[in-house]
Amino acid sequence: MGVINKVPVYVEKLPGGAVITTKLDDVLNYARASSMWYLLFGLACCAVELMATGASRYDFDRFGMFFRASPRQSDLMIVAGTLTKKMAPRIKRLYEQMPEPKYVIAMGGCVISGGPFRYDCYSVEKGVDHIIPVDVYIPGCPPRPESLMEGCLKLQEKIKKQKIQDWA
Amino acid sequence: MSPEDIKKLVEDKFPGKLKEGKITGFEPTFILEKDSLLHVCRFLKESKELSFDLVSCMSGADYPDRFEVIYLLFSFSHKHKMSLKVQLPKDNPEVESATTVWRGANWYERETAELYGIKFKNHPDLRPLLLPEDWNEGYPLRKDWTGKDFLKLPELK
Amino acid sequence: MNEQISEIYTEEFFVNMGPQHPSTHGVLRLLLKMDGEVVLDMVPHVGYLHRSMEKIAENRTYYQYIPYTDRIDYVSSMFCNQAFCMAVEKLANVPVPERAEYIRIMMVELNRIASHLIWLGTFSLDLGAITPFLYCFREREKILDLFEMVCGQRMTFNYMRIGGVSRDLTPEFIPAAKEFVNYFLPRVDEYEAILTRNPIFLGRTKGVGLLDQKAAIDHGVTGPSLRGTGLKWDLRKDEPYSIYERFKFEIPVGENSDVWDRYIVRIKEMRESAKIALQAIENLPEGPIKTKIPAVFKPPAGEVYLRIEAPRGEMGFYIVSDGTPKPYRLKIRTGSFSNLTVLPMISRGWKIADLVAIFGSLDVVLPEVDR
Repeated sequence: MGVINKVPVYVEKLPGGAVITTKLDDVLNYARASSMWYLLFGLACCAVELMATGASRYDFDRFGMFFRASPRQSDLMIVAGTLTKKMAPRIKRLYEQMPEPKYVIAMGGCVISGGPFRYDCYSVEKGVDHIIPVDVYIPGCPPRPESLMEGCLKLQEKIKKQKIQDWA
Repeated sequence: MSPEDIKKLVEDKFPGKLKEGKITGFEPTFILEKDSLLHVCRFLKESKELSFDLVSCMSGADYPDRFEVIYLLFSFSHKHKMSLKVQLPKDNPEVESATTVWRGANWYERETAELYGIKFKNHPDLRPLLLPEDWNEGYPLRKDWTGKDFLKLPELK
Repeated sequence: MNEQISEIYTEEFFVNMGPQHPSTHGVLRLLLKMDGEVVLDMVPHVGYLHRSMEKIAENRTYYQYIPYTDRIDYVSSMFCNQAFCMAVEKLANVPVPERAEYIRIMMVELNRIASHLIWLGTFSLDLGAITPFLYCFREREKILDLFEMVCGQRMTFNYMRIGGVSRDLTPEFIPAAKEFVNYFLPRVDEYEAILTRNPIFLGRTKGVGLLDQKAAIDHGVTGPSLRGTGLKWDLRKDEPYSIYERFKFEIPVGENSDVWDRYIVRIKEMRESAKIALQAIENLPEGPIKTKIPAVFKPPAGEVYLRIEAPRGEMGFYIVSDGTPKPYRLKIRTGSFSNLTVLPMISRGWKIADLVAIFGSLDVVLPEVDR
């Protein structure tokens, strides 16, 4: 019954049941937004907050978010931590290995712009968006679990506005 | 052993070859000539009274007129410590590797070699450690180094 | 039959483990030479998190560098804060008020517990036990609440200052900390009930990954991994820094230097740390929390090396000052860097599943290796 409450539908009662009329967009987006499996992948400090968000107190699972160890099975990549020049080609490879539709959250100052390691630093990539497209940016050093959750809710909003023809 | 005793013992063993330096916290400090480094290290490790068995830390440094390699040594059996320094010329800095004496020096030397461009002779495996595989911008910890997209912190006005 | 068996042979092959692998705890890459499932040799590749901390230090003032020390080892930031501040204090002869010393020790010991909890959680996750992970993070959140009370941050605290700490304890901190310690000690028994005598856990850890004491010292291994080999060496006891000589605590050591011993040493250390924190809370004196130092702080020219006992072994700062507000050279010595060098030696001949246990038992945190 969840779908009926969450997406705009037209319901007509018939004897022995009901017929629902709705848009395919809405159903697909609802499914995508409610089970974003993220890649278990951490780079630095933010990865510990990512772990904490998945663990006891914050409990990521209630958003339908669950970590997968393989990029082949994940929909969402949370780039958590400092991205160095040595790591950049690997991130790109991981992103390319993920199946469509795929989303990226840039978590923390370092992956947004280099953060505290922007200046006087020879080995840090100045932002992950040079390398892969980013959907949601979450500032903070590191962002608290609450802000990470807020970021994920924002991404859900974005997913729910998608049109199926955009994916063609 | 107290720092004074260590100092006396080492100076008696290698008369005239050592100068004195100062690293607070790891006294005594000696400045060596680079040719005698391995010789001194062997003695420090193998001598019964000293037996320095841990390279607590190893570092390079870039000064206007020289490079330095700093060894901070500690002995678990006697619980005493000391430090060594080697000064190297600006052109072609090269020094004997201490990995044969302390295996713990291995990665420290790789790191120093990579970031300062100091060569360690007879090192078993002097591949780059930290920088990307395709790094070709020189030795970043040198004071005069500058790279392609290296940004200096803007001064506040 | 025998002839048939002799015809079956395996070929050596290479496996790349990492830099994205769930059990490397970050971005470590291990190039493994395998014979079937047995690890014949390995080459660790590090540097995927090299953030040029040492170059940055040369371009920041001493004050500005304190937040960067948080990020050297984000799991135990307080220790990096403390080591850096103590090194600068030693260089410039800055006295630290008594109250600040007590607060520092309280904080680092609570941080040691938090750090060991992360280790225990991820280590047991690697071995296939998910429950301890959730338990550990439950307690860790409580410690982070305490830290939040005093400095407003959960992980990167930026709490200590040269000559003291940045702000005083809030009135609600002391009762909350006491309550936490009393709550925490029985929780350690809970972890032990799940793991210590668990036959599966014993099978995975007992007798696995033996680390010879002589070789460990030669490689520069320090911290709990060294104490697991039976050497009773702890800088807090043997070279008391700060005011550790006033506290009563034990140094736990292992006997067989295997993975299980390294596990039990850390479990016991958590209890000792809780006791130290409690003593610090009870004996906390009144008084100032910071020595006043000038806004443009210029330590005299000179060199200093100072080391402390961090959760992953010896953490040291080598600082060269030339009398300007910025360090001329700063070198960070961390426990993980040396502890990782020993991994190829102790994992040779073990199966790939044991490698995960052995690597977990060394408690390597990658930003400490790469800096």
